[in-house]
Amino acid sequence: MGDDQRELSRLWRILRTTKQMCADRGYELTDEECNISLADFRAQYADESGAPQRAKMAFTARPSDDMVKRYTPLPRPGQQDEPMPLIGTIHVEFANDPSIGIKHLKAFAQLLNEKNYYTGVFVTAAAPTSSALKIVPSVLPTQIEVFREEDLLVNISRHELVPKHTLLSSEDKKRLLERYRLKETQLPRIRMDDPMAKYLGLRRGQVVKIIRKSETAGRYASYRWVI
Amino acid sequence: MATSTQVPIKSILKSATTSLDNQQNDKTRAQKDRENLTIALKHAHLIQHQKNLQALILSAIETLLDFPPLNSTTTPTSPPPTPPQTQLLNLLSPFQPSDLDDLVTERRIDGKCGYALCPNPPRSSTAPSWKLKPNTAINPSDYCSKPCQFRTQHIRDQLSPIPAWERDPSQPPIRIRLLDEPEEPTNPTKPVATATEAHHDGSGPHKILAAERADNPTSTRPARVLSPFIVEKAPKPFVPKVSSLGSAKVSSTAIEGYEPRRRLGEERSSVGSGRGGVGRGKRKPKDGFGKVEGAGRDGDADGLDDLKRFDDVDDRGVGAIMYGMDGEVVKEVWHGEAGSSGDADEEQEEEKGEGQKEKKVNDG
Ligand SMILES: [Zn+2]
Repeated sequence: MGDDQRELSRLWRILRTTKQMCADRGYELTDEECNISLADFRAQYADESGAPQRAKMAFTARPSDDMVKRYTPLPRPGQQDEPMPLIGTIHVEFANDPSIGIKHLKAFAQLLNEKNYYTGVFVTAAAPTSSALKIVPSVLPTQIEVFREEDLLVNISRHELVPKHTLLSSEDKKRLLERYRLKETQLPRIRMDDPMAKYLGLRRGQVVKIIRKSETAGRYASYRWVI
Repeated sequence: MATSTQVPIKSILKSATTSLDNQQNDKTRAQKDRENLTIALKHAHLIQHQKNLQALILSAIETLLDFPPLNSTTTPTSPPPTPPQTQLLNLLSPFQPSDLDDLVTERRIDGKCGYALCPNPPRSSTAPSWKLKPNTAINPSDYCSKPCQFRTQHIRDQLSPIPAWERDPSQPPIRIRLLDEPEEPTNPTKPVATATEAHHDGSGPHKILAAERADNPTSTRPARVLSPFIVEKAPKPFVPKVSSLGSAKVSSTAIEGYEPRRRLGEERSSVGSGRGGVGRGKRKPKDGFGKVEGAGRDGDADGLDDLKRFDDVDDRGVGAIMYGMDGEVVKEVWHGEAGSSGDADEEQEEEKGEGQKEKKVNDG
């Protein structure tokens, strides 16, 4: 019973962080969804015995108009039609298997393909095998992000020492580079496996704006290029 | 002391390069760019090669995950399929032992015996997970039975520890044998050919066996980018330019053996008759001002003349001369003076005040 309770509150925190993460990226999720209370969580996701059901926790979300705009590349010179936004519906699943192998992630990729989801987030209790992680780049353009449950217990972006990260749209990026007469390679960098880069689902080549608070300078912004 | 001294101003700016120099520079730069491009391309190809092979290994693991293939899928009309044993060996050829371990792990997760040709479930479904893993990479609970474990171990021992993208292409690929396979290869095409070739090479059976055991792994890593091309540095003959006082030339002002150069006349000027502008560059000596000695002009490198001259020059008491590495007088210390220095890299003639002897220091 106590174990179920602990597991329930653990998963409650994980689901909250996951939804907050999606909302922070720009997907359409309500505040109530992102800040669900433990009682509501129990009512919705626990079975009769009080044990949480991970399968029930899966959800999908659509990108907001603002997010679509941010992910729309600039039209190439000479290109007639509007470029397609590089974003779409996100689908999140929670897996409880004791080990995650190639088969699990391939099945997940297939599901994303069938349902035409743009991005898939796979939250797993156990560490995936090394070859399973190698599957992720091999199923592109389907985007799979793998998260460990323990990494989502706490929302790192809400920590006071983590500065605010915001993704620049292609247009903002172009303007930034023009303003400072830079090439993107001249910007400081952030790795794709950086926790905040993973949180925001940053992709290679994007530029993220980081706003820090400084005792002497108030707020100042810096920019990083995702590699 | 040196306030009245004026030394010729030497520009610190680079002298304008001639167009010939520019051409030369452009040429060398273009060549360097070409070389850099070649190196970059070489690296890019190597990385691509590595990526391709890694993708190949991954797809081989995916295929072997579903092994053994079901016989029912083959239609009677289709040509006889390659036996799974041969398929297995072909797929395993780029593997490292760690790749085989990955395969075993994936098969265990998928509920299959670790040996790719075995359709049974492993024992591990009931095995406690808290048990310490045995030291070997082979975990008995990944297999259905001991024979399967031994068969996999046998394959693993034959796999080359060298990554497939670093293997020497000139080396025949290691032929992996299954444990229950007869010693005589059933498929007498390529492996036999390479084996006989090796025999004809005179390398003998030991080498083949060693290669089979991967005893003597041959990796191409060092040779991949660096071509064995050695550039000898042309030896520069040592020409001693020191004076005859060479052995006694340790200066107190030397910094780590190098003597900072100073212009002659900096110190001397104050000794002169107070005439400003002593030693100003290219001024021609005038008779009334004394005489200029051109010691060293005759090309004497031994400095003997200089020394001799100092003997008769010295009417100011005790002094010492110090010589720099290339034989020039770098410092003279005279009684009552802080010392003076010389710079002889120009044909510079120094004038001294009246009644004082002039001297010329030359590095020959
Ligand atoms: Zn077996």
